Amino acid sequence: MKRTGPLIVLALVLVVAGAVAGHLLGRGEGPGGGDVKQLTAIVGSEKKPFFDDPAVKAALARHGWAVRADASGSRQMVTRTTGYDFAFPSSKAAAEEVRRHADPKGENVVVFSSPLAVATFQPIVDLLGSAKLAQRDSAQVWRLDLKALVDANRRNLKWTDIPGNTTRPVAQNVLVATTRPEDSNSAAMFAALLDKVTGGDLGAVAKLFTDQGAVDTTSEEPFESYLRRGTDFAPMVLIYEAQFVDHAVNQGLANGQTVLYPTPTLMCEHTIVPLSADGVTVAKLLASDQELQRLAAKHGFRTADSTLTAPVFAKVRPGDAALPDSIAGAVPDPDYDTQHSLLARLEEKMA
Amino acid sequence: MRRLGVAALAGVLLLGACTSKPKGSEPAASEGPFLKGSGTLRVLAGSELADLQPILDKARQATGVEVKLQATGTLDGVENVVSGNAAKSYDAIWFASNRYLQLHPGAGDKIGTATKVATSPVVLGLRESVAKQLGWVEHRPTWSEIAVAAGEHKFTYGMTNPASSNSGFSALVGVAAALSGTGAALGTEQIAPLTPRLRAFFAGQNLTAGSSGWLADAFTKNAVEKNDHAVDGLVNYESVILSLNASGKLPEKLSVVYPSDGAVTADYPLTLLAGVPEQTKTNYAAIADYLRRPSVQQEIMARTWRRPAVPNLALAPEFGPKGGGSLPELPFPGKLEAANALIGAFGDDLRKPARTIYVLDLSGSMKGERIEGLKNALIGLTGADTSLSGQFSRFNGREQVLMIPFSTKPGQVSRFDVPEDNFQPTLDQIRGYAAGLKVSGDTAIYDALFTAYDQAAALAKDDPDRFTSIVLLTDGEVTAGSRLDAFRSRVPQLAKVPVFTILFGEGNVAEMQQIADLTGGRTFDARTASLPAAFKEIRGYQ
Repeated sequence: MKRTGPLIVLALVLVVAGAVAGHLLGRGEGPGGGDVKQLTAIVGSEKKPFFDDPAVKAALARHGWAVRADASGSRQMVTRTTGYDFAFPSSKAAAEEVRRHADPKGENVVVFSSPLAVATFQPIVDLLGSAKLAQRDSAQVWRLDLKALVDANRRNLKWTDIPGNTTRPVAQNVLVATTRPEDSNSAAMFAALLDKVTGGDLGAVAKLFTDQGAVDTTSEEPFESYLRRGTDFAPMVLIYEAQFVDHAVNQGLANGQTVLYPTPTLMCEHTIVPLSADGVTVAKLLASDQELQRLAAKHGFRTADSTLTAPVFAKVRPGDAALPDSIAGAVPDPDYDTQHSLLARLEEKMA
Repeated sequence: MRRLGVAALAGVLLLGACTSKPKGSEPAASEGPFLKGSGTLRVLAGSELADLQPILDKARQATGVEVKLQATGTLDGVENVVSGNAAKSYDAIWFASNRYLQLHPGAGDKIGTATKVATSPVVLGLRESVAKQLGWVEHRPTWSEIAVAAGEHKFTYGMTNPASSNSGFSALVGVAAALSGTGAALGTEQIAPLTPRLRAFFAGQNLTAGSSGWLADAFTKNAVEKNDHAVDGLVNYESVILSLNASGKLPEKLSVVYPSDGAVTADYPLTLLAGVPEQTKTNYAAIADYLRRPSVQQEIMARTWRRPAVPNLALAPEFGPKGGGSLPELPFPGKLEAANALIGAFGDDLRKPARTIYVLDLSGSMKGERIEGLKNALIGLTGADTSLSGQFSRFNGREQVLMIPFSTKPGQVSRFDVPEDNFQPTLDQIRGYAAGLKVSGDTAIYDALFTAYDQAAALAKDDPDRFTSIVLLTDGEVTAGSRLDAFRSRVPQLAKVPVFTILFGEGNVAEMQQIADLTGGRTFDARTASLPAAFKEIRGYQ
């Protein structure tokens, strides 16, 4: 109790200072009548729904901020950061890459996390189960065996090669639809997983990408196609778990939509690179403000405080699958040097 | 005090804005306030997006941002983005797809945020009676079955040139991917083995064009005229086919054939160019937000027959396949080399070869800059133009090229038969011919056109299976020989060959338009653009 006095004084000072600075910098009138300052951010596409959420806008406005979020592949951001207050790529490695090509004004800030997952449909899961490519573990979480997937792809396993397949009689290779590793963090991280399970067989890794042909550059695009077109777009789509949870909680699951977790998987720490003084402030706010963290959890991201995440995840009931409480046995988010080297070699292999 | 003042002022402005607000600019109740910008968003766009103008007009009322579309062909657009030229005059690009663009090294650095606005698969539309006869109303054929039937001349269709237009390119990619049967994206080495089956598919094509819009118009005209050169259908966007059905202009509706092994889908990403100023980003965000609102997506679907880009919107019943059948996405080549090899193979190996007749004004007024422009234009088509669009507008293997120069009278006809392989020597001959063109005398436009038609008719006797077309370049009025009236009265007796006229110099615009209209051709404007650019654009129609 004794310490709250000075904190209140400090808060008051900050508020007054903020107001003065706001006037000096020419803040506009906010929707709630208070002053808000307009910032711009370049963010991984899967985080645009978060920033576009009226509740998030209101929460930011209460602190005096409005953020216009422009979507971009996390790796494309490297050349696109000019003029933005912060960049918000989707992993520590991607953030480090952005940082090295930008003029950061503060330390990188991890805001929330989300593991790689695969959006799919119950009949596809059953089919994958029968082909021994997926199985449900003791916690009822469906796992996609990446090693088995790579082996299947080595022999060009098509959907039509799976015995008893009446749900997807399409003569296309069994693949996970991804984005481009050179543009997008989710695909880059998937490459890291494949590299791991193949023991560095880059030819096999590259084939899982090149077999797909030309693909999208940001993670939200294929997920949107999944929601819109179902298996016609692709039977399996690489996503961040958050995208699926967000959809399940805020729109509702339909048509057998369900989720698989690649084994091994990888936790992506969505990280802000502050590019202006305001960016430093907002990064800290996003990472620490209880309301904003709660809203992030509502959009499916795993927050540092798991009590925020738990009630959201409890609402997600995809068919016979469960969401894992914790992401155990995950490959660590690779460091920048390892990841950079892998992606450079992969690009060469894919060319 | 100051705050109060600002608030009061804002209130007054708001009231003022309310009273002068035009109708229809209120956001739908569930969709939140419009984002605002100011000024314009200059967009280099595919020509077919012109049908979104009414939506863009409303977007302007809602956001304060005027979207100005400038139409361009696919390859020209890609080239302009990759070279950095697009960024000099435009803020954004908007094509049917970014997939081909993104195969180009460094393209990602030239563009920024992309927002998908609508989607449409490239499918086959067939006259209902023909679809029924083929049994394709109940049974959905594979692309392979479609190719076999086309090769056996069981139906004919129109399609755009893959080097000029995305719908043709997507169709080519789709049919090639489906026929390859590898289950993966097409590689360069898989193209050659597909040649016989793809040739069969393209043997059924009897209408071509450089743009989807013109193709649809030409198809409609053909259907209305009911002549003996009937075109049974179109390989085009589903949206074009459904729009034609909705237009009420077709004597017989088109049945949409959704190949059972899938299609390639356009997704219309409105894409910011790199390095634009802050205001432009704000304007872009406002327009992108507007276009993706569910109510606007509904309107785009209702007006243009494109499918929504956002999830959770029900499709109108006209959209197929019926009964919830699937339409898997076929893979698009992932390598530039493979995509380019496919476009190149189309021209040199796969398509029905062209008979291309150039009727060229060499009268005295063409001297100087004009004749030099003409020489450059022709030489460009022999492989000298190494730009992306130049590369794919070169005279093709198996093409027959005729040159009919004219001044006071039609001059000597020169014919160049480009062989299937090793075509450089013939291209060199065309180059030498073009370099040697000389000017003098009067302008006998119609006598020269008659010569062209005579040549076309004579050559068609032994070798009918070609796309034959005439290009007319003149820089002035007719001053010798027959006149337009004589031409008009003879058109019914002439072979069905379109004349593509070029508006140039002091040429008679109205007459050029009439010649094009009478023959089923179209005009190309070389008064504002260069002659080489016009000649390249015409290649899409030959």
